[in-house]
Amino acid sequence: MAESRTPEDTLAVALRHAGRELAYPPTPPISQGVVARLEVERDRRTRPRFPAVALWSRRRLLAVVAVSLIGLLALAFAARLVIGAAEIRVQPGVTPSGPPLGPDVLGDPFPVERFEREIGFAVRVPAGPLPDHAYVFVAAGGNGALLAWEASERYPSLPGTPWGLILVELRTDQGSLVKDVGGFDDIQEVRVNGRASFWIDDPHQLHVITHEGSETFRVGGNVLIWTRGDVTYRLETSLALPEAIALAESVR
Amino acid sequence: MEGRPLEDAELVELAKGGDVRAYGELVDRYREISFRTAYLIARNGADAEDATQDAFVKAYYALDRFRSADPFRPWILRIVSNEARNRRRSAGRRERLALRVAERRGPGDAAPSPDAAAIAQETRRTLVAALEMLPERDREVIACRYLLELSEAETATTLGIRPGTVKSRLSRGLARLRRELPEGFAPSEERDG
Repeated sequence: MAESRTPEDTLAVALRHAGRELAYPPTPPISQGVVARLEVERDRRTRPRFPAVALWSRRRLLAVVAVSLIGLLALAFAARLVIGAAEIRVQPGVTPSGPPLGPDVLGDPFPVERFEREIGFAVRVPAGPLPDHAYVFVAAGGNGALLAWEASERYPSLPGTPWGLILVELRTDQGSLVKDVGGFDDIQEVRVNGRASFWIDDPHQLHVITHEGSETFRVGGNVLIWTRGDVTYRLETSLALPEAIALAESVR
Repeated sequence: MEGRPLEDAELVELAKGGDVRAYGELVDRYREISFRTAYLIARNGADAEDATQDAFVKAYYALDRFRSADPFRPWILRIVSNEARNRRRSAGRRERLALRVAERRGPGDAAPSPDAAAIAQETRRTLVAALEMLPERDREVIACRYLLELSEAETATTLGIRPGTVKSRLSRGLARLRRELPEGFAPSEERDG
């Protein structure tokens, strides 16, 4: 004989079925980010102390050095931080090359009145003066915005450009900006609006991934990368970290 | 390593010894249920992603306090739910959860008749809409126990409440849910399992 169900039982079964049919957002590939963060943190916490050389034979020392190098290289190749549309890779020995990201490589500024229609989302700017120049930024994941402010007392100049502040906004989760830094110490995890973000304060290399391949730029300023909703922001500045975070958090 | 997949407890032991890759495997195992738990609590996809990632990082540093013989899933879900709640509170938002019932069935699913499928889908939509009307505490316990299909014990651990409280909140929550449903609403008699 079939067991009779109470009304609550029927409702519970219906809820279970509803749960299986819910359209959750796709589960992001969290493990890569977690492992990369742990490896960066581990590297910071466990700085190797060199043993007293006098106690070591030359052969043993060479063996230790070789093993350490292999380990460091393996760690370096594994280190890959992803935030929104940006990826940061640790490439020991990388020498930043290419032109700086400036007016010489960006073509013509875009009329502001057509700007948002062209890139397809609302551009946000930090508190303070409005940008002096605006460009449509073409990457593999879609069009983005590049806003630039002329160097001023407020925004000290960036190496190699007449600008003092650059803000890139990109709405895509497709990797479109790749940064190569020389070591773990170049990357600092910080919080912008309470969310995990990254600060790079050493010269590094930026690859912009396009449909045709990639373009490489030399970055001399400090860079803060954060996300808000589905938009990835990249701020390049000569300001220090606290001022950069304050600017980022003022973006409206 | 070849052969059988490592058990959670083995991966936990490796992770406790500093094996970050082993921990990455644990993250992979539980990332989906963790992200969904965070989503149902934080009520926002971006916050859920951050909460899940932060929870796994915090859990790694708390592994010394975790007994390898205990089940890993409710332990990590507890940390995830705390992170998700913190984010929701710090954001000061009261967003409606954008829960939607999927429009399409997977290609491998048995295809019911079009009428039956439409009725079932409408039933689920109505249920999800009614769930939105419940107080947060009732909604969370129903979400964990039924939408995520956690056991009562897992629901208790995840939400940081006693098993007896899970039972009482479920009973109260279902009663409230029934009151929020349209008059004459009858869940379709689908078989569970």
